[in-house]
Amino acid sequence: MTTFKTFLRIVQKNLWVIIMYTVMLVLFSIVNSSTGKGQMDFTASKPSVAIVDHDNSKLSAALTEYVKKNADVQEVSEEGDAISDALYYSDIDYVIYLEKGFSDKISNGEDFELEVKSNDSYGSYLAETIVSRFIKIAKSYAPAKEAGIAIRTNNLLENETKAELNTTLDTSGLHNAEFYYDFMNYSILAGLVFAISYATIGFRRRIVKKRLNVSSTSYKKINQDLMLCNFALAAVMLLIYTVLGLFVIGPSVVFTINGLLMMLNSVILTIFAVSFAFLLTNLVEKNDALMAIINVISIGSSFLCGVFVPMQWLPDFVVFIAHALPSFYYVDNNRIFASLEKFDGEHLMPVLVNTGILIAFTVVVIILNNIVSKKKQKE
Amino acid sequence: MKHLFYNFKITFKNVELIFWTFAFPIILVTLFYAAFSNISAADDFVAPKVAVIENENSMLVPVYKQIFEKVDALNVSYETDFESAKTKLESEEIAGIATFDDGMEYPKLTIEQNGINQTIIQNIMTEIELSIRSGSEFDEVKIKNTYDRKQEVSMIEYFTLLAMACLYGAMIGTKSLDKNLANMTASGKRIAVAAVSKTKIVLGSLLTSYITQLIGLTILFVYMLAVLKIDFGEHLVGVIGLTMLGALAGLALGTFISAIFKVKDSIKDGITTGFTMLCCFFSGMMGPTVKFAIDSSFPLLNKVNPAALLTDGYYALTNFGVGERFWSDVILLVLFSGVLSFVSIKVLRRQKYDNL
Amino acid sequence: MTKKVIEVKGLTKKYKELTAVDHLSFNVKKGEILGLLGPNGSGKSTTINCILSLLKFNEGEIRIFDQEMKPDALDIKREIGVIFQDVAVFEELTVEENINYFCGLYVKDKKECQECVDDAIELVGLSDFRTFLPKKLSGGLLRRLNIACGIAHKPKLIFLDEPTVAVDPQSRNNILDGIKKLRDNGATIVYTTHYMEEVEILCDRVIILDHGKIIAEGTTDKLKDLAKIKEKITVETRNLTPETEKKIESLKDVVSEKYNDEVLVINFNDTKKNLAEIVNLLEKDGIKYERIYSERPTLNDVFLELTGKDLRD
Repeated sequence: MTTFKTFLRIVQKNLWVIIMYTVMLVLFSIVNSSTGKGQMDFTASKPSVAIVDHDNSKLSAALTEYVKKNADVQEVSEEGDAISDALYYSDIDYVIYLEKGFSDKISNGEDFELEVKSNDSYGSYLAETIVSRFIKIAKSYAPAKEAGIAIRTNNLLENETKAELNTTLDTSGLHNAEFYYDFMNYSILAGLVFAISYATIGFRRRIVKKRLNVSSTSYKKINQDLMLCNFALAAVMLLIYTVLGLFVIGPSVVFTINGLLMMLNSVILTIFAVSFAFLLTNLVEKNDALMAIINVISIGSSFLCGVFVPMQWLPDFVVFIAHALPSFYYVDNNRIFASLEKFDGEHLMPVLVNTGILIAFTVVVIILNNIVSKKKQKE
Repeated sequence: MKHLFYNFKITFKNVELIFWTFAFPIILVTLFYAAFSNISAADDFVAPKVAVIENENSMLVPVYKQIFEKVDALNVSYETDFESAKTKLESEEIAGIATFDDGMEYPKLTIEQNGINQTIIQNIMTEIELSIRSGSEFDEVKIKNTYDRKQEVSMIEYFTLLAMACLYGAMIGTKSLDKNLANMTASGKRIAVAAVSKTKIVLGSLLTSYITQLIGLTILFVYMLAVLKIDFGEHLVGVIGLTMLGALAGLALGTFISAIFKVKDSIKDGITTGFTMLCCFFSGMMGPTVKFAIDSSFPLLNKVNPAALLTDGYYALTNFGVGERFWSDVILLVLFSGVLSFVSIKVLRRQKYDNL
Repeated sequence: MTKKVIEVKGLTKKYKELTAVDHLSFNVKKGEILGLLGPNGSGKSTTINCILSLLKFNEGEIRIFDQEMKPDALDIKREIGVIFQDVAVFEELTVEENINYFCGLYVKDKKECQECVDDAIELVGLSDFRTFLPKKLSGGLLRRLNIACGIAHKPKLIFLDEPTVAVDPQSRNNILDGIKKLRDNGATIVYTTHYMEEVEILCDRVIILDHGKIIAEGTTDKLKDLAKIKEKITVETRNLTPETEKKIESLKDVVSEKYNDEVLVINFNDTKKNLAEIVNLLEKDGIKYERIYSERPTLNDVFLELTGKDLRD
C-alpha cells in the first residue's frame, strides 16, 4: 500500500507529461479525421479542388456543378499565399481559373488554354481528368449557344460507370480509427513509458534501494507491487484513450469487431510498453538519460514503423529495419483490421503472427529484466 | 575570459546536455531522411489493376478491349470467373472488377473500398463510356499549370526539426544560468556574495550558452547539407540567419524558464522538452497537415509558437523568398525573444530574495 | 577602541506569520572569532544571509567596515569570504580550477590570483588533490575544498556556516587549525555551529540565538557563569536506593538530580567540596559505584537551562 501511495504521488507530480501526450493524440486524430487526409496520405478518393470563376456564365456554373459532384470543392482566398499554401500542404490539389470569356471561347469553338494550379498529386490527376472531360465534351458541341452547350454536356455526363461496393465496412471510419490507434503508438511509447519509468526510477536510486533492501518488506515484494502499480497506471491511461476514441472516432466504429480488435491490439502494445519501461528503469539511473532514450525510441519507432509516414511510402530498407521493432507489428495489425471482413483462419493468420511476435518481444523484455535485476541485486 | 573558458568547460562536460543539443537532432534528422527518402517516388503514378470478366454475349466487351489497348493508365487483365476475381479483389491483388451484362449494357464496376485507385478506374471507364455514347473522339484540352512546387511537403519536417534544435538550446541556457542563481544552487549563492557584478556573470553565462548552441546547430547544418544533401534552395544565407535568431529565441526561453520556475533541474528540463515537443507538434513535426490546420483554424496559436514561427519563416523564405511573410515571422520571433528576456531580466535583477 | 567590523541594529526578518529574526542587534569586533549558536530554526543562517545582503529583511540596519551593506557594494564584498553549509563547487572542474574560478571573481590580476590559489590549497592541505574532481573526494576533503574556495582571496571578514558537518576527525582538526591561522593573519570570523567543543576551542565571544532573539551573549566563561549550575557530578552505580537518592536531593547547593539507566547526575549551584560530600554519603549508605567524576557545565547545559532545549535539537 505504501509503495502504491508513493508511486501515485510521484505520478501526480508528472501528470503534465501524460496530459501533454494525450492532448497531442486527440488533436492529431481530430485534425486528420476532419481533413479526411492523414499525415502525408495521398489516398483520398475525392480530389480537393478550388474554382476561381471570373466568367460567371451558365457554362462556368455548369462546370462548377459538375466538378462539385466528383470532387470536394473548397472556397479559397485569392489573397496572399493562401492558394500556394493550400497546394503545398495538399489541402487543395487543383485550382481552376475560369477567366472572363471562357464560355464565349467554347461557344465559338475558339482555341484556348485553361490556366490551372496543380500540385501534381494523385488528386490533381483526378481533378484534371474531371475538368478536362467536361471541357472536351462542351467543346465538341460548338459552335452553339452557351446555354445549349451546358444542357447537352450535362445530359451526356449523366452517364457514368456505376460502381458497387463489395464491402459493408465503413472504410472511412475505420481509416480514422487506424490513424487514431497508430498515433497511440507514439503516445504510449512516449507518454506512458515516461510516466511509469519516471515514477519507478525513484525506487531504484542507490540510496533508496539500500534502504528498501534493509527494510522488513522483501525487495521482491516491493518489485511486485511496483509492477502492479505500473499496470494499474497503464490500464487507466488506456481506458482514457479508449473513451476519448469514442468521441474522436465515434462509437459506431469503435464497437465494431474491427474497432474492438484494434483496441485489443493496443492492450497488447501497452503490456509490452509497461515491461519495457520496467526494464529501462533497471538499466538507466538518471532522469535526463531516461527522457533522451524514451524520446529517441518513441519518435524513431513512430517514424520508421509507419505512424507518421504511411508504411507504403517508406523505402524498402527502412521497412526492413522496422521489422526489428515491435511497433511495426502493432501498426501492421491496425492496417489489417481497418479492412478485415472475413474472420476465418486464413484471413486472421497474419494478425496472429504479428501478435505472436509482439508477445515474443514482451517475453524477451521480461526475461532481460529478470537477468538485469538479479545482476544488480548481486552487486 | 577565464570565466568564459570555465563556463564552456562546465557546459561541455554535461553529457546529457550535449546529447540533447548535439546528438538528438542529428539522430532525428537521420530518421526523417530515412522515412522521407521515398516520398516523391511514392506519389508516382502506378496504373491500378482492373479485371474484366469476359462475356461472349456482350457487344461492348470487344469495343472496350480495343480501347483498353491504348489506355496506359489502367492495368487490365481478363478473367472468366467472377468468384475468383472477387477473391483477388478482397486480397487487394486487384482494385476493381468490370462486369458486362448481355447485349449493349455498359459495364458495372465492383470495388472493395473508395480509394484513389478505384476512383481512377471509375474515371477512365466513364471517359470510355462517354466517348462511345457520343460517338466521337474528343480533342485534348490545353492546360497550363502555373504552380511551381519548389519543394516536397516533407521539407516542413526538416524545418520543424531545425526549430526544435533551436529551442532545445533552452536547456543549455537554463543549466548555465542556474549555476549563477543564489536561490537555485550553492555555487549561485557563492557568486551572489562575490565582488563581481551580477550582470557581468549572467551575460557571460548567456554568451557561453549561445555560442554552444551555435556550435551544435552548425554541426547539424553541415550534416544536413553535406551528408544528407538536403536542399534549402537559393536562400541559404537567410536560412542560416533565421536559425541564429531561432537560437536566440531558444536562449530567451531557457532564461525565462530558469528565472520563473523555482524547481529542480530535471523538472526544468522536462518543461523545456515538453514545451518544445508540443510547439513542434503544432508546427507540423508529426505531420505537416497539423500546421496547416492550425494556421487555418487558430492562426493566433501559431503566431505565439516559436517553432511554428521558425518553420513558417523557413517555408516562406524557401518558397517565396524574402518578403512580407518572412519578415512578419522574423518580427514575431524577435518579439517573442524580447518579451521573455524582458520578464527574465526583471526577475533576475532582483538581488535580494524573499527566501533562499 | 577596537574597531567594529559588523554592526547589526534591530534586524528583523519575517516569513509571513513566522518571525525568523526578531529585532536582533549585535556587533563583531575586528580580529575576533564570534560564535553564533542556537538550535535548528533559531535564525542563524537567516541572520548571516541578511548580513550578506542575500535576503530581504523587514527592518534594521547593517553596516560592514563602517559602510552600509548593499548587494552592489562590491568593495565591501571584496573583503568578505563566505563558506556556506552546502558544498558550493562545480562538479565539472578540478580542485584547483574550482578555487581559481572563485578566486578570480575577487582578484583580477592573474599572477596574484594564482598565488592566492596556491596559498589556499596549502592552507587546507589539498596539495595532493589539485587535479581531482569533486566526486572523487571524501566528505572531509570536499569540505576543505569548500573552505578554500571561500577564503582564497584572503578576505578580512569570513563567515563560516557549520563548516565541519559530517567531517572526519582529521579533517576537522585541519579545518579548525586553518581557521585559527586565518585569525592570526588578521581576519575577523563569524562562526556558526552545533558543536560546543569547537566553540570552546575557537571562539572569543559567543552569541546564543533562539527564535530569532539573543538569549545570551559573552565569552564562554561568562556564559557558563550565567548558568545556575556551577558543577556537575556524575556517578555510575547499579544499586542506588531511593532513600539515598532522597538524601542527595535534599543536600544544600543541589539544584537538581536525575538517576537513569544506572547513571546518577547531580547539579550543584556552588563549587565547594561537592565531590567529597557525595563520596562520603555514598560510602556511609554502602552504595557501591564504578565511576565518579566532576565537571564544569558545558554550553549545552547553559542553553538547556535557558531554553529547556538542547543545542542539537
